[in-house]
Amino acid sequence: MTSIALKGLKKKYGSKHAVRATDLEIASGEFIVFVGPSGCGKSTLLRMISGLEEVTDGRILFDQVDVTARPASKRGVAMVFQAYALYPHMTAAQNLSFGLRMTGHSAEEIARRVERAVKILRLDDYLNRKPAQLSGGQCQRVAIGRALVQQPRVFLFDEPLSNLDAELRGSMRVEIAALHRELDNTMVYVTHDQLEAMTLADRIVVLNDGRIEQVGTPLEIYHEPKNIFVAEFMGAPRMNILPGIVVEDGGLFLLLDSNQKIPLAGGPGAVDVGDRVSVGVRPEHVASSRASALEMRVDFVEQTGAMTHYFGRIGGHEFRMASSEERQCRPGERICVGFAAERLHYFDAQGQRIGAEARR
Amino acid sequence: MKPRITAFAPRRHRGSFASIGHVLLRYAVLIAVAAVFIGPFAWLLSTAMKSGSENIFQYPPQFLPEQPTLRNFGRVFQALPFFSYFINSVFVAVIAVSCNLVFCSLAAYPLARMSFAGKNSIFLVLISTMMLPFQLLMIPLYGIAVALGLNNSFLGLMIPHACTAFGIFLMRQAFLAIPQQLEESARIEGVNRFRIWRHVMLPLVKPALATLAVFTFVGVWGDFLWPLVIMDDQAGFTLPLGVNKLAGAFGKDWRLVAAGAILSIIPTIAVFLFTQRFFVSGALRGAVKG
Repeated sequence: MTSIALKGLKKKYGSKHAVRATDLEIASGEFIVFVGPSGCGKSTLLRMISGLEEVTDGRILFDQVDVTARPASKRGVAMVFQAYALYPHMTAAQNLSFGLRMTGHSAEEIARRVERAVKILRLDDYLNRKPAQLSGGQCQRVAIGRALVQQPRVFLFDEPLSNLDAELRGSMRVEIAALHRELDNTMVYVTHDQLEAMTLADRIVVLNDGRIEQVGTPLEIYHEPKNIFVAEFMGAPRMNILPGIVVEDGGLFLLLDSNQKIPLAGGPGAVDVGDRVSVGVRPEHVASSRASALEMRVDFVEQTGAMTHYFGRIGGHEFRMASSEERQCRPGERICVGFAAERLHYFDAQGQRIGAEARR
Repeated sequence: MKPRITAFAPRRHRGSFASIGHVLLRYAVLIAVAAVFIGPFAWLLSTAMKSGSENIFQYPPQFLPEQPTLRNFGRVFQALPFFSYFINSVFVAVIAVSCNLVFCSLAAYPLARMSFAGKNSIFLVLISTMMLPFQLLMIPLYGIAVALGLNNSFLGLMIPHACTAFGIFLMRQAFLAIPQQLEESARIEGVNRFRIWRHVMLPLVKPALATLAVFTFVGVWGDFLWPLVIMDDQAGFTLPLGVNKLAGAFGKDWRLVAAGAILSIIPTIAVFLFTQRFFVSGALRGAVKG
């Protein structure tokens, strides 16, 4: 097991910052997930940890030892790629053993390691097949097996499930989680899929535009997003954000530009009359309520089976509601929606969370 | 019932006639193109099989021999140490093709996959040499070969073919088409660059290697000018020099020259037939998800 520390890590391509000064501590045996939109720098960060990408500035430490200048092969990492990267001219068995054969391991050692990987990943049935004869899921299992036989200090996964269909993605997610439990290795996993991030991670690192927005456990990220970006990025459908001005009207209210008011009772207590703030509420915490004066115009209704998603607007702002009850209204209708004040998230004019500490 | 059938039948006939006409036209064009390409070879074969009593220059020309004979082929072997020239050609071609495949792919790999200062400039210089015709290079090349004592030697014959700018260009483009992740995966596993080149990259560029092999073989096998310049010793003659000698030795008996030319083409056809299976696309199927 290996701990990883990133100290002021930067990557620039010409004048473009792919990764801005990044500091991060990854504990030994931790499963950490980098998540963010395309181009946020998550894969670049992973590739710098692997040694495949040169570092512009900063240091990478494995167990307090600086490995920044070490080539990829000397870091003790193994990587699973999005597109499998299996050697097409070799069988699954040859793919598994290739690295070991090329680096002078004994036949007994190779056989032992391959056998272990085959057993863990249940690869027996297709060892003699070439990648073209394997399904996507089988290919990715062979690719994970190839990482496994290296007996690395750190496993790196670069969007390994992105090419698989939804069902296979679900089952592979379970397998990767089980693999982490069994091996207890440090694993760094890159994805843009927040469901993968939430279900696999011990901690999630949310990245945007080359910088870390928040690091936390999945539930911390979900319940206490540090800023509007994280709040909107994590969760599906994404969190509703309503900006307005704090007003006094027998209590504090948020006055929206549509002149509708949202009571701020139970808020963080750090807002004053006249402050420009935004409140956020997750769609699953919104319900239709005749008692509420907040009116939403429904534009689109999406049935997913378990949940019904309502997409519409409140004033000029997009608003979403997710309900376990089946269709309650049709597109074009207006419904009154409400939510518990303690479900609200508060963000200042810069989009940063207000009162996060006070709420803990 | 009946009117409905008759109403339908003519439409189907019209469709069939149009379809047959289309097919006929397509085959006519294909046959015409094939005739243009096969024509010279067929004429050569026809000339080689004409007996000595036939006038090969008669007008109008007669394609089919009146009395087909294989004697001319036998006469080639009597007139020349054909087998010796054939062995020389095979030796020079095999070594030159092998060198070209190894050196071009070795030179192309860093140009395609490594980062170093001046990489693009080197490639540009290499590519620009393709614009120079061999006739321009021949004299300085001959001077160098003589200075190095390589005239009248097989080494001197092979060296200009051992590594070509075209070959480097072809292999570089082939390496560029291989997904980067295959190489990165091997690098992380600790495989060194040479072994990556040998065990990962080369097997994946077999179609390009086969193409280069055919081009090089055809070029070396049919090369006349450079062997003529560098090789005086008849013991070192390759087939084109030998066939040319046929023309001189027998007062230009074109039947004999044609028979020699036909015999010298056979290995080229064999090489093409052997390597064509590598041209089949799909070598990378399954490497990475597309």
